[in-house]
Amino acid sequence: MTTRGWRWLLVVVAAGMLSAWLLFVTVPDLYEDKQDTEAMVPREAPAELARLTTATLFYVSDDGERLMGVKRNVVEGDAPVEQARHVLEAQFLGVEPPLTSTIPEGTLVRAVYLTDRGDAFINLSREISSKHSGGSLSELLTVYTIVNAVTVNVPSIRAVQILIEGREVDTLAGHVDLRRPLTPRAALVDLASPEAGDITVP
Amino acid sequence: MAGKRLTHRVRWPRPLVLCLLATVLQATDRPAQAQQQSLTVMMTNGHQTLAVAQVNDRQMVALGDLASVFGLSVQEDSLADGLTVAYRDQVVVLTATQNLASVGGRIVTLPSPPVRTSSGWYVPIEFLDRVLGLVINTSIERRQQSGLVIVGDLRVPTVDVEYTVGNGRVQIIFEVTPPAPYTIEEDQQHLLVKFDADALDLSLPETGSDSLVTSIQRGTEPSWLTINLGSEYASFQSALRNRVTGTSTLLVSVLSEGVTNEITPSRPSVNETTPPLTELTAPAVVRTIVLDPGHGGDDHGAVGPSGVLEKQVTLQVAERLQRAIESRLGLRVVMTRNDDRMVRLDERAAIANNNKADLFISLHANAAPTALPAGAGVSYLGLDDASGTSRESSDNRSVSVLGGGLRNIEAVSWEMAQISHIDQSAMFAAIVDAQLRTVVDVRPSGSQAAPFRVLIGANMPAVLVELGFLSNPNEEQKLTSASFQETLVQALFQSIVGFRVRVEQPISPEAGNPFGKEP
Repeated sequence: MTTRGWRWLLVVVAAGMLSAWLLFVTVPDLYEDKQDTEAMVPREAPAELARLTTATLFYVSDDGERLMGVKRNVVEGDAPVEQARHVLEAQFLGVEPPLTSTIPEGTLVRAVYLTDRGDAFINLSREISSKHSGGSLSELLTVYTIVNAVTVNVPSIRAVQILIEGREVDTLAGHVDLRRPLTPRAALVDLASPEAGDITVP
Repeated sequence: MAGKRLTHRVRWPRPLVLCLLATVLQATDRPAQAQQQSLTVMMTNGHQTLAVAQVNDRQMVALGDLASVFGLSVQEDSLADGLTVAYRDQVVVLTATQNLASVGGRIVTLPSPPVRTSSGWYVPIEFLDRVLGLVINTSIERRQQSGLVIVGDLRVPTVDVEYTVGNGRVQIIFEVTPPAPYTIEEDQQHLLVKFDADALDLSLPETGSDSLVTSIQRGTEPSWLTINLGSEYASFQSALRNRVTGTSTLLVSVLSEGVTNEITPSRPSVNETTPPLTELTAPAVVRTIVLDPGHGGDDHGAVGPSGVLEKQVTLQVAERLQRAIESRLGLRVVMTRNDDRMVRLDERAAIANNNKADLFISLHANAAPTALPAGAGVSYLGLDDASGTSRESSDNRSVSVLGGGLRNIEAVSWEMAQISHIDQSAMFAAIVDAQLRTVVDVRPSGSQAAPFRVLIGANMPAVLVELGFLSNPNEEQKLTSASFQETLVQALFQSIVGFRVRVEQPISPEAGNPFGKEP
């Protein structure tokens, strides 16, 4: 190869390295910076991150006897299954006093399935049962937090069956029958709570 | 239901004449404590005595004795370390290692396995009422207090007698449960109280010899009582009081000359116009009650802030309630567990169904995510109607019948047997709620319908009672105290009594209803 040939090769290699550096290092850095700033300014955020919607989540009412609805922003999903999952993930996050969660700590949503009849199957991790504190009122509140959160916020879902680690179960803690889909119970919800707003339990 | 019930009358191998019964029953007046030396088996045509032995600290009977009394054949299967007990075409399989009996494919639990001793095989006395009744297809009621074993539809009311002396009169009070009609006949030295029953489960007081009444004793017939009169006897008066509790109280005042009497100053007032006797002869409907102490074994249930376990509280209260029902109502009580062990929810309902129970009471202690909630509560089954399960499982289907044509039957899936009993369960729950409210704090919501798993398979009226909140520190302490437990037991006991009155004596339109409207 001539000297001129070597020079050309060197230029091509250098150009290649420069574009690789631009492509793999500089651009992602810029992109990440932009993402962080944009997350704080939802109007300019990319579509999949900022589409939020208001949902009613359920926590223990002030008298400890029932559930109360609390409005929160959750990520909006495209399909009912995705929406149900986002609602439950928000519902399962820990809360600070004065709110009290009915969901045992560490419970994860493994999957959500939906049938044509509008029955949702919510597959949860084992903590929902193994870390449950027991007692029929506690158990009713846990079960109907999940049933109400999904059916109130996703209109196409009419009933919910809870699965644990992919299996059908009898109960969470020895009381409430979980062998078939459950529909929401208005009687367990304190509709007079301050943040209940306009929730209607179907 | 249009189904017919077929009953086989058991023909007993050794017929005995009734008059013999009275003589031997003299020896079977109720002992002071429940530990019996023998059981008296009463049948439609006679009675037999069964010796009770203490084996491994349990009351047991020799299987050989049972075989001769009931006409059973017993075969030992040494290979399987077990036994088969046969009666006609029914076979019971027992093994020496398990406290279970298999009766024609149904599993029945016993407090302990059969035990082989040098004198043969022994089975727990519970074998009589839990297993043998199924085998001979006849109800068998075992009364813990009196050691009576009642085979078939015999009317054997418990009769407790109290006796007071004073002011020229002797007052004798007969508490009869369930109520039985009676007549009183007088001859020169005796008052003869004749109950319309097959026999009496009698507890007689000690009577000092008095110039009015010298003694009270069994009569010459099994359902008669004799009051032996002294020299000062002039006249007697009697009155009947039928209480809401399913017990009738018969008061007999024996008076000396010149004493005219208003009956019973020491008891609540007696209605002068006593109701006709026929109203008191209700057929017994509630015979067997299943008590279900919640949780057990590895399943502790709820745990209070200072560590009180739900499984312990439920067992303690169930045992107290069992004693109260057996000793004061003479009803048969079956427990789904007698000790600290895990029993699956399906098995709990199966125990009730296999024992043909008339009432199922599941006992629990509640817990909530916060310490605030307090109070007892009662629930009955409320299924999710929107999920369509109740409609699916209780369907009217047409089946073809012999001789042609179709007939509608109501088909209820076996695992959802409770559906046919929800109305009565709700009625009983309302009674329990009302009784609890008279003695303890009750949650404001009242009796509620809830989808509780343990109730679904029970083929009889069934409720789940929450005794209080273990998550509330104040109630946690109360739930462990004997006096609070007794208070709860008293309310539950009165609820059972009230339920019996409702189901055994249908309310006529003009009769008062102590529990208000039906829920």
